[in-house]
Amino acid sequence: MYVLKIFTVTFTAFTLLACNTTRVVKPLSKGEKQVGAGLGGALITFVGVPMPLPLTNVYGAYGLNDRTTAFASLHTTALLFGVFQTDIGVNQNLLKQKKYIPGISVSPIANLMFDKWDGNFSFYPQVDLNAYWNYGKKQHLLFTTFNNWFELRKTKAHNETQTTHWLPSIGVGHQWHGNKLNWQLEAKYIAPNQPNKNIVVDYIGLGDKGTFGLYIGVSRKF
Amino acid sequence: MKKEIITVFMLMMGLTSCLRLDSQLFNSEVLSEYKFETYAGSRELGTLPATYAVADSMRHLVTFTSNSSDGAAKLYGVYLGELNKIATDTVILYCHGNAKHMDNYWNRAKLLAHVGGKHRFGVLMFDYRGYGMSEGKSSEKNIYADADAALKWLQSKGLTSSRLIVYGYSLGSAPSTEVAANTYSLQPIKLLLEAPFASSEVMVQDASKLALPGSYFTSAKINNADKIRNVKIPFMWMHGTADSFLSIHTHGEVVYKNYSGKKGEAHRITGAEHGDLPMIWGYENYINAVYQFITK
Repeated sequence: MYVLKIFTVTFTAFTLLACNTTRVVKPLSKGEKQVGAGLGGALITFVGVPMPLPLTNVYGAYGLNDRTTAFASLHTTALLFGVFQTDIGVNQNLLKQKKYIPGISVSPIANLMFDKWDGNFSFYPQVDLNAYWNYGKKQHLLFTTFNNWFELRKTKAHNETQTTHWLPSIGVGHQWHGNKLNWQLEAKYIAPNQPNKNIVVDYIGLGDKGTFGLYIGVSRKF
Repeated sequence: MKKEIITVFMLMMGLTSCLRLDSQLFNSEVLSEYKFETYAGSRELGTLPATYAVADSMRHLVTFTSNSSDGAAKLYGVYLGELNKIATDTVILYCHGNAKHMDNYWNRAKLLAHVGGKHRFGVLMFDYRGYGMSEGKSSEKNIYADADAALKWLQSKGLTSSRLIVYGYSLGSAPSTEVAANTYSLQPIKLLLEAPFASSEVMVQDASKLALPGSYFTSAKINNADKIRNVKIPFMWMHGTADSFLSIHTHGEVVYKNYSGKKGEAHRITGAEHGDLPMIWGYENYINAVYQFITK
């Protein structure tokens, strides 16, 4: 089985769901720009060792106004495999933070994928709901996020019925604000409504549902 | 603006690389010599009871040439039985899985050599390109060519289609289904698949939970679920209910459901994993079921 597992881990090395840090949790100021990069993915067992899938991406964000920020990304690991993948969205602030009462924001996102081999196109709508707290002199950011991916296709391979249409994940993260760079660490629990057994990859989850994900990110504002 | 968008898009696609996961499908291991019974590495089914031993005199290392658009490659196979009886015996062509080489699957070939009694049927197992001592590089196209090369070798020894049984395990379900569904040097009269793939796309979708196209990951299709529609000969399917590599539900059941012939036979083995179905079923139960299917 060991040899088989090497194949399957590689095979799914850029499983696309929830494959990045949360881009923008709190909107930028009007005209403010941000660029960043992320690394990480779902936790799997590889040769007996737990590790996150090494998925990489870069992104940019722009403050349209003080309450709305647009962002777009490029998934660089997918690109290595001939798949152009991007997530394009806006982060909209709903509530401002009031001391211990968190700020609330929502991000509607379009995940788009296109491969250069067979020209297959995929679209996955996503909605993230975020709660955040700025604190300290440097306004570090603690946040929680509730991500929702939606599968719109009704059928899958061999005309079988696609039964899964909602893939949620919940996460908690932190941004450390430095003088130039901001660092982000985020943990997620992906697809807690989905079984994680007998599906080729040894995902690490709670019991037989879902999987943990671990991500790091770095960004800079201008 | 439209021109700029197209330019940016073309630039993005130009920046993409050509990494594919196809080669990861073939976890071969190169050998300088086959050991068979004395192979010291770990292998499928561990150690078989001594009753399933095969005498050295009944084990024949053979070679033949496989031709594909990638060129010719010398392949190695092992024939269990008497070579001079191929012209009159029924023969099982065994297409092994994706791991290592023939030494890894030696126990499985031995079990088949005991179907209906010791050497009741001849058994030919072979290494695909890049496996064991076989030359060349594995690919989906090449494993089909390699299976046809094995058929040609059997044909050259006097085997006819009316005495050919094809058995595929795991990855071996791909060349087995291919030669049963399409026209090759010989046409089998019966097909057995153990723990078959439905397709590489199903693997992708199992792992992601999304209906993602398989082309995002690999060019290999391994599309048994569609090819089996063209198989009209009797078909026996075996799958472990605890298979954590190729789920019985998303792979095996789909292949079996799509079989459109009239003589399908399904064996869902409770508790069996991907690599231990004959052991969990019980070796004698397994052997008897294969025998009954071949002879009825």
